[in-house]
Amino acid sequence: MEKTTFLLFLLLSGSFIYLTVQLNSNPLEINDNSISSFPENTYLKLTGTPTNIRTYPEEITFKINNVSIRARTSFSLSNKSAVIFGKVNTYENQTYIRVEKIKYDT
Amino acid sequence: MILEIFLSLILGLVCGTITGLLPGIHINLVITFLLGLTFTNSLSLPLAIFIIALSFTHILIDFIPTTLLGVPTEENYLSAQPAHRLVMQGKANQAINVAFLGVLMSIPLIIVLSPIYAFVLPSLFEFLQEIIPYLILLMSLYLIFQEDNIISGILIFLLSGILGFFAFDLPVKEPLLPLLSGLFGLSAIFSSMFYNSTIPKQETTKTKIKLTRFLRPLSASFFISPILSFFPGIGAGHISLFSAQIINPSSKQFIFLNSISSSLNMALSIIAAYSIQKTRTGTSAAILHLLSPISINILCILILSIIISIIFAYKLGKLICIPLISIYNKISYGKISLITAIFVILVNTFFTNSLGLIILASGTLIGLICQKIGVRKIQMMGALLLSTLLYYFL
Repeated sequence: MEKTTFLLFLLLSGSFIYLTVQLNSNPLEINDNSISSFPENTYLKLTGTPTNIRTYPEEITFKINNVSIRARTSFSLSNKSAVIFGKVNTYENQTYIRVEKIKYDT
Repeated sequence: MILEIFLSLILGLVCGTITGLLPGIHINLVITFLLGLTFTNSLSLPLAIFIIALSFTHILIDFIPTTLLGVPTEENYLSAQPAHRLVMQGKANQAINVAFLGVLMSIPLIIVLSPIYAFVLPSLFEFLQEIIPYLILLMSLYLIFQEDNIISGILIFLLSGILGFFAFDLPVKEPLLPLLSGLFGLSAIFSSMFYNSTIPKQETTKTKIKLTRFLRPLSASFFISPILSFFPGIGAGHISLFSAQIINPSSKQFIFLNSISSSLNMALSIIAAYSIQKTRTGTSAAILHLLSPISINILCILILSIIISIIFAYKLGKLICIPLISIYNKISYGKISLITAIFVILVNTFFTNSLGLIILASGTLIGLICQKIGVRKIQMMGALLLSTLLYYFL
């Protein structure tokens, strides 16, 4: 194999290892209302159908085990079942999830 | 309302020209930004028409940076190589004008295929839905087995697929942006910076193109595009390649084939959003989001908007093409490439997060490896296809 190609493969392997580590360590999946127990900026994952959507300021509420968890977002929202990724964020003494990504069911 | 629609068309034309000329900016990025804003319901139709005008103008104008800078997108990356051959002969103007003609000639095909897509597709879709994953798998395997070195083809398909999986499953902001910018954009700029330091001066005289030379790609696109357009993960690149298998096109015919497929694929995805409520492009997803459920009257307005947008974009493209080539002739190619690379990196830094930048870097490495080991860029569409296949089969 040519030296340059080998170097490209080496760099790619490095970034793939980094991404695999990220995939295994983040995000934490939560199934209850324990978000306030996580430190600020922890990545979290919620799965379910939004029960309430507010457009301004954009906010989405997921119901998990009969407990509502609120997430703040700048993404366009829909009622479809989705997985949301976000970081724990405290605002006016309330713990929210600040949404970083939404994956709707296709 | 008519005034609002007209203004939306003009605004979409202007914005599509700007985004089309800026390398590395994808239509989906603009649409995501737009949908994040709050609009009243009465603005849904004008906004949908704005998105249509923006998308089709972007598709057409995008062939200018693709040809001159060698910075393709996932739609037109296959035409970058034949276009580059013409650039090396000083014929960038011809390459761009052939691409423009392709987009313009998608109009008659849109008119003929729209009713079929709107009324026949729903009855076929239930059956087709069952076989979609197997057909995608077959198409992917067919294209891999067309490679001179099959192992290298599989390797690039899988590497891109794994990267796509990472991009969609990690909290990467705007995952498509770094993924596609890396695989198709930045890698192409870097390799052109390394290998093509001298580009000849480009002709700036008006060029005449005979439509009769493009009747074969026109008819191939007519038959292949409607069959492949509603497949998830399948884009204009695949449509062009499968059409090329039938007609064995010249460089110019391939550019024409790719541009007509890009435009037709986009138009049919919007009609599919009406007929089967499935979205295959960011544009169709945005339109369905804004107008759902789409009525037949609204669909007619949307098709009319597509046709008007293409005609206006064609005229505008012809107008700005030669002045832009004249400017291009005055600046060194190395400098343009460097500025473009910095711009693409800045766009990604602004719109995505740190994980997105790792995806961008990895995509660039895969793109460079793909060129180094002589595999066709179509294999990098594994980035979308592998995730699609995993979704269906797992």
